[in-house]
Amino acid sequence: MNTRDFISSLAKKLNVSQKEAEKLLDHSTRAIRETVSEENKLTILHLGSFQVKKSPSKTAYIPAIEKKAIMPPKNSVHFQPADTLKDKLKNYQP
Amino acid sequence: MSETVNTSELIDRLVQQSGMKKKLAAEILHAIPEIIEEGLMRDGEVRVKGLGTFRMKWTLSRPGRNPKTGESVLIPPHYRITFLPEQSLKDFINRDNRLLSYRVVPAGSQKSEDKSRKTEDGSQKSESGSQKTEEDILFVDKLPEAPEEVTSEVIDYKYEPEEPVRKRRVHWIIPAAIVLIAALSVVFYFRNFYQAEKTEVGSQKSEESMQPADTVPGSGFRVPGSGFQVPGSGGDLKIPTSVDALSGTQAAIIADTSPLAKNQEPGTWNPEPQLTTQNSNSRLKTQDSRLITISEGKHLFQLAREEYGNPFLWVLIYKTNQDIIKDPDQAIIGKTVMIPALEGTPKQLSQNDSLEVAEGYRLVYEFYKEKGDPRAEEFNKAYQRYLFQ
Repeated sequence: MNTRDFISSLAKKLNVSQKEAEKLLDHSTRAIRETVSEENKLTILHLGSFQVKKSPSKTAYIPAIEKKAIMPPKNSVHFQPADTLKDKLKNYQP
Repeated sequence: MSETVNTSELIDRLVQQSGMKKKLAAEILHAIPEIIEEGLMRDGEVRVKGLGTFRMKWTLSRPGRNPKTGESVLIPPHYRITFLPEQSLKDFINRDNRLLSYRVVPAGSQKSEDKSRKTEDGSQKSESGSQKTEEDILFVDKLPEAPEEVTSEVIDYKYEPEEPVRKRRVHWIIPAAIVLIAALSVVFYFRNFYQAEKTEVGSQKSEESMQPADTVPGSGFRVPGSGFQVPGSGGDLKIPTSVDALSGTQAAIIADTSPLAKNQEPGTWNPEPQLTTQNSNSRLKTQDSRLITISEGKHLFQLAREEYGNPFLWVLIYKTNQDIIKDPDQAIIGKTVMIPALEGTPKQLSQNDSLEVAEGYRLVYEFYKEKGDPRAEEFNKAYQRYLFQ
């Protein structure tokens, strides 16, 4: 399912036009990513939780220059699916 | 630190940010998981714009432990849900560190491994080591923002989602095309109309039109308001050379003004014309009369002007060629016409000539009378005028 399908199905569910649905999706994804980055953890009902994991700066060996270097801190997003979603997709067959 | 944010709080935030209604926000946040679930069930992969891709991934069986009892269990192979964040999401989360790069560990702060390496290589490394430090310094100079320093700095980065600037489609093409088509159609319409008019005129000239023309008999042209005078009583017709074309009606109307014509009552016919016809028959045999084949469409009026120089004598031609020319209004084309000779000059008609002309006018009058044409009266008057010249 690509973005276009997603938007069309969202428009169907909300009974709005595709343009409107795209706008709403933009707003919602923006809100999600901002909350995730600010609060570090966000749980959406029936979907799962997004969590930001912060890895501090560390020294690492870089093979390209054959030297050790101090790496900057890095954040990464992890997703944990909700139990309801897992249950629903138990019988998934490709 | 890791306080979980609920969906309800997210809804509040969404309402604050976008200004949409709370109900709609709740609907959206309920719809998104449903759609993701449907998409995963159907395709196994869902891409959410702005977040990333959810995907079903096949995992092989692996040994695990029951967390409650601690027994080792073989986890069967299954599909699990994975999430790959978009690059934009990664960038957004790392926006505070976006200017940071790695910094090579300076030579001074060597660890045990570096020391061991140096000891192995020997004294040569000391020189090379100095070179290395220079390189390091250069490298650091290239990236002056050390991670510790920059983290302390407050980078005021505000995330502003780039709204896609949609190019306006070329809307001006449509009105331009409409205008162009309209202009072309107008041009073609008038062109066709003009051509049709031309052909109509041509056909009127060349072919015999069944409809009685409004124009005066024998004349294809009308020159309104010409300073033309026909002396009523005089035996001669003084026609100025400047007059190119004049209709028979005009002449007849002018003739009407003459006192002689007024005295005569129309509709009374004398037997004299029959005598004149006999004269005309004898005159046809004279040498001056000649045959002319007309290739181009010509009216009698034109023909008389060309031959005699007096367009009013067209009735003579009509009279002599009555078997060929049936309708005096029609133009002649492709026919051989007899042009009778005159005793006098066209400007100064003799008595016989005027009688001939009068007979011609009478014939035209009869023709129009049968037809029911209102111009008949005028020809009657002209006939009488010529008769008593």
